Amino acid sequence: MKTCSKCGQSKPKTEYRTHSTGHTMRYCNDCHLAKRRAQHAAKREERNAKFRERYAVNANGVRDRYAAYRKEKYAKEGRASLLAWIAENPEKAAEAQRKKMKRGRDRLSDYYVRRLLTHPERSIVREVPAILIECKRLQLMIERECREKR
Amino acid sequence: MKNAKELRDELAQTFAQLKSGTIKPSEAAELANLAGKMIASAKVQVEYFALRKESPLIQFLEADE
Repeated sequence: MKTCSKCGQSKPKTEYRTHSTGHTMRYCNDCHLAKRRAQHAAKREERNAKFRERYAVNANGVRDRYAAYRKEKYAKEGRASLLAWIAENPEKAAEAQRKKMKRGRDRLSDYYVRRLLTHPERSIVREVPAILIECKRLQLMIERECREKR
Repeated sequence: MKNAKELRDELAQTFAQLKSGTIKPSEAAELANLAGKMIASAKVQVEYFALRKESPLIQFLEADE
């Protein structure tokens, strides 16, 4: 039996980790685990910030890997899993849609321009001719430039 | 501007002229307004044929050969 120097409980030696040198640790497994969890939680924001930085620059293709995973998941599970997530997380889904539309509005993406031409739920048109999207984009660019110049 | 391709080329030229200051913003805005109406008209044609479940060739959207 050994007494843990953190919690003060007497526990069998099997409840203590052994160092590679053969020395038995001072803290029992439960206290050691609690300490490691606290350390891990304390560094969470720093770890997440580093990951976000790597993701933003697509370091080592991390963003491509995630995109490929999402695509594979969507191909396997189909739209049903996406609709289930939207039903479970309506606010997150709405926020994601707002961000997508803002990105599209800033860049005049194909998705945004197509949505301006034909609403995906209200319109029966599924394939908008690419030339029409290009013309609409150019029209929007001219209008924005005119507004800026006024 | 007989078709969408010519419209696109015209719009691209207008944008370039607007950026360089060759034409006035009011003139460019008028052209953009007109283009918007032409695009809306083509869009209505596309929706019309989609509702009728037909897919004929729309002359405005076909490029000249």
